[in-house]
Amino acid sequence: MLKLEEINKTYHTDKIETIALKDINLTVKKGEFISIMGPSGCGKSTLLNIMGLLDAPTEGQIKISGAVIESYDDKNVAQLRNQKIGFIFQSFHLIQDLRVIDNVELPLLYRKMSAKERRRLANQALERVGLKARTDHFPAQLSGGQQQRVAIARAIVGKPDLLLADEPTGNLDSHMGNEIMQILESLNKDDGTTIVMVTHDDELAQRTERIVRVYDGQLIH
Amino acid sequence: MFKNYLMTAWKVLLRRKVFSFISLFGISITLAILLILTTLLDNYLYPMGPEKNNQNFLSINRLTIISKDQQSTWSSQPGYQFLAENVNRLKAPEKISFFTGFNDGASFISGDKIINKLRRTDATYWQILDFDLIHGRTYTDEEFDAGAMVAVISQTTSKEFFGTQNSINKSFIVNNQSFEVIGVAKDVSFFENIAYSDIWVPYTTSPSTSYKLGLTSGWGAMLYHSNKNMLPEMQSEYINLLQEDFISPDPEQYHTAISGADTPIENLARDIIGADNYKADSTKLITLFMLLAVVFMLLPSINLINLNISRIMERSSEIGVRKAFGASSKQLVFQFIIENILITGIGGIIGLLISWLVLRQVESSQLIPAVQFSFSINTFVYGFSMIFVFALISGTYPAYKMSKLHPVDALKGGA
Repeated sequence: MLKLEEINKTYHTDKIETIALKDINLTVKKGEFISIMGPSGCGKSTLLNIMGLLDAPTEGQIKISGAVIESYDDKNVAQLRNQKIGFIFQSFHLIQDLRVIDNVELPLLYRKMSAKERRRLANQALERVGLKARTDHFPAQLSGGQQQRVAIARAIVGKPDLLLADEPTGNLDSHMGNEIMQILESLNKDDGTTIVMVTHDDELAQRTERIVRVYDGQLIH
Repeated sequence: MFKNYLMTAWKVLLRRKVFSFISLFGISITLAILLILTTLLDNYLYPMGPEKNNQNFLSINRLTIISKDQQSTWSSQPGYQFLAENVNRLKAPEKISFFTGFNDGASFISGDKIINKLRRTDATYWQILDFDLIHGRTYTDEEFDAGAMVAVISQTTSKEFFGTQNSINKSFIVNNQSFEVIGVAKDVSFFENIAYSDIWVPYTTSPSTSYKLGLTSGWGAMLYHSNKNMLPEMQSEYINLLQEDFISPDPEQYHTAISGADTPIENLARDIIGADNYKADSTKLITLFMLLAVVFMLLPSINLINLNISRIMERSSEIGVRKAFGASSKQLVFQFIIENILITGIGGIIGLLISWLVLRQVESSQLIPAVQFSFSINTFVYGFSMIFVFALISGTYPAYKMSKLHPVDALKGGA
């Protein structure tokens, strides 16, 4: 499903060179649910950004569904992200000016699809996360847990091959965090969605199939 | 997609009320001023009154005379002698009319002195211009030739002299001459500077014949042809005549005559840019107007660009999310320009409303005599073109800057 080969990521400022990731080799199989753990600043989020094509590696190769990412040209990666990847962020990142349903439809706006079909799929995704009754609400009218469920609906509405979750329960209490984790588990088990989740929570990580640990930009086996 | 963009734009507009007010205020006022100026220009170039057929005639209203030794130059309106001895010899026009400018005409009503505008014309003047007569008629060639003391007066002047009664066949005195009213015309806008006056009388009624002498000052002419394609030929013939066969009462002193037969826009160019050419440079005038409009729009645009950039920074999370879920830079530029067109569109509509109110006020206050502004289809086309240009000027750079935000930085909330 996803293969990272010899990935390096270095940031340059005027005088300093910071190595964020070093010689990362990682394969995520189709239908797998893995978690990435590590201390703050170790490169977990950078790794997730590179997996999600939000950032380009300095060196190395990424394969998604067997195809090598050859160009990081804006249009090319935008299309790949739209078709193959769904994101869930710690701070939800919902657009406050749009209603729940419009937030969920967002990834479909960048596909050739009728408004009616978009609406049908968005309703379906909201039903999947148990928020069908909240379609016309605005994000500010929802609890943190509900907002994250909207974010999950947005991430799955386009039926992506890969779901990337960056500390999805980080801003929620344990009860709500557990609810979100249950939804992710259900998506993985029932729908076969491949999920990569960055987390600090060891208990949640234990519930995934595999834990990948990062330390100082390197994978620890 | 479009609906989503408009919804976001509308919400952003409502969310930041002060910001939106400043944006809309700048746009509205700028566009209102530009629209007022455009309407004035439009009313001058495409009048609705007697000069509405101005595509069929040329006007001669400036003349420069230079002495043979080039030491002396006279520049003013043409004089009757110049017109009679030179312009009268033109063959291309179907009709030629001579008339004076509008001068003060003093009358006394119940002991009070009132000043009206008085213009002396020939009879052809009425055949070329399309006056809207409320009562009576205009003077004929026979009356003109005979120097008949007849007058056409404006509706307002009729009310002033005779109240609400029909004024036909009644007499009045202006500049110590008594005239009989034979026609009452609808008031003429000040912008129609060939037709504009309160009282029109035959120039053969002038108290003396001294007007017949003098190459310069006080007079104007119209050259008419029913086929507007003949206008360039009339212009060339006039220039040739002046260059090859100018009749001068004193060739030493009045050696060279420079003048042009102008369309309305050339007429304006001659007044604004310069009078000393055979052909007035209307392209230069249009370029100047457009340049001024752009410079005028540039200042509020820069202000809007600044405000737009700061607004983008506030919305970086949204930009990051849109990028993460598949928006390309091009799509984001498009989105932001659509949003900006919506804001400037609202500002533009307010601007149109302001300019309409101001022009109505100018009309009713009679700040410009007898003026009636029409918001023609032209005004709307100009107005919305300006709004579009404004939206592009103020939206493109911020949109470009926004689209270049790195998605990871944007999601973190900064550039």
